Amino acid sequence: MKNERYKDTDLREALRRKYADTPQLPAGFMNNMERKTNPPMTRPVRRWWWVAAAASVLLIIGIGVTMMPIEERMPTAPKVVAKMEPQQTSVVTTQEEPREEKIVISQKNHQNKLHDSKQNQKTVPVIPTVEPEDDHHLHYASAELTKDTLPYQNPARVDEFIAKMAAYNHVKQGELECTQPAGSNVVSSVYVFPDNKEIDVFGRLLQVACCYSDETPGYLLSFSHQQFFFELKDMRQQLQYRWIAERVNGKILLYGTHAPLGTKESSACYQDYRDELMHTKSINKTPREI
Amino acid sequence: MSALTEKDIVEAVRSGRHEGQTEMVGRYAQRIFAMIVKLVPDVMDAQELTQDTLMRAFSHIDSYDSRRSSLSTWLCRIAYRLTLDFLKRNSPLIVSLDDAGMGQKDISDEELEAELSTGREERIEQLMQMVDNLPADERMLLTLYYYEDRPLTEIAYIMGVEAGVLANRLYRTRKKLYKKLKDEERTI
Repeated sequence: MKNERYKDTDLREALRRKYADTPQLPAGFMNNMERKTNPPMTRPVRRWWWVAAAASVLLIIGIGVTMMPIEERMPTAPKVVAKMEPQQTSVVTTQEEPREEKIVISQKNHQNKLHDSKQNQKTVPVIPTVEPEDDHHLHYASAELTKDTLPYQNPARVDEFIAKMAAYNHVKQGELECTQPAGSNVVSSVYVFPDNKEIDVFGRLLQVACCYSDETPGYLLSFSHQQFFFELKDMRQQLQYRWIAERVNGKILLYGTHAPLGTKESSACYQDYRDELMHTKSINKTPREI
Repeated sequence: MSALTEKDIVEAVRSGRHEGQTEMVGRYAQRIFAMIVKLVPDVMDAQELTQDTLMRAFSHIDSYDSRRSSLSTWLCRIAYRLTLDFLKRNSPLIVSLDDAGMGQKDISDEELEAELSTGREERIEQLMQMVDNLPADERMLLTLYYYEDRPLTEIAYIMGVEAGVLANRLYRTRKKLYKKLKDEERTI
């Protein structure tokens, strides 16, 4: 690199002429720079930014929790089995063929006694008993709260849902008069749904049950392929609700009751209806000595 | 005349004092603008780039090293980079195929100097037009070298290249102008 500078006078002269009338900075330039270097908004703006950001994060978390399915919010460990009022209960067992011989077992002192007259007959427990607290074969995800400390979830909405489902599928509601115990004030209704995948009664009932928090008073849920059992208490209206569904002869018998809290309920009328549906004479009424 | 020295201005800007920024703007803004407007013909764009240059300087004043360059040269370096970025954003980069082989010194510096120092009026006018058609970096190089009389080392700092590379680029640019002049002579 040469240290001396090139003269190139033509080029110098060309550039000198070309840039002779270089424009000056506009008069307002200094004012513009003043505004840029001294913005009117100062520190408090940043604080508001932080507040807005924190509020946004909380809002997103809130929406996320709200949108989370109820099943995911449920604790995985089963809760304490709800305490039920002592009541007259019975366990019904049935066979695959309803017209064949049935076995009736009376339950006393919370003991299940199962005697099968034939070895090859399969017996299936149909209705889970409510009474025994130490029955670990049932799937309980329930807890009882004596106070209405949770957001109120009206159990009657299950009945509304069932009524709508029945109406949609042209299934009529049957009224049941439970005479046991005498002077019973239990309100019962029964539906017979076809057992098919389109209606999927069990699945829909389970969905409805899962809409209720397991901390809802009296929450008691049990289900299997054969049966569905769900109980709730309405502490505001002082009512207790129970829904039982069972697969019987290609149909699903759905039975719902509600009664004032503490009312002793019997499954006798349900069993009557069930036997009637199956065209069998109830043998529950004549408990057999075993 | 301001009593603040260049060092005082830098210190004032570093400590966030408003008078430092005002002084820097008042002292260097026109110079920066004059440099930018040679590459960016639109005055509003040039003004905007001048503002950006000064704002960039305020925010990066800690990176200024007085041992490497004067404050003015450092500001010119920022201005040059911002201006090139602006030109790249607003016009496609065109690489002339005529540049191939331009680095070979088949014409001596003396011969080039003689051809570019004829003193003929039409040659000066031809060069005025040719400078407009040069790429931005070459135009800036000629401006800083011939018009502002800055040494190559300083121009190298402003343009962010090695001084040796810059000397080669200067030779290439001069040779390009010479060739164009010759071509025009032939067509006439």
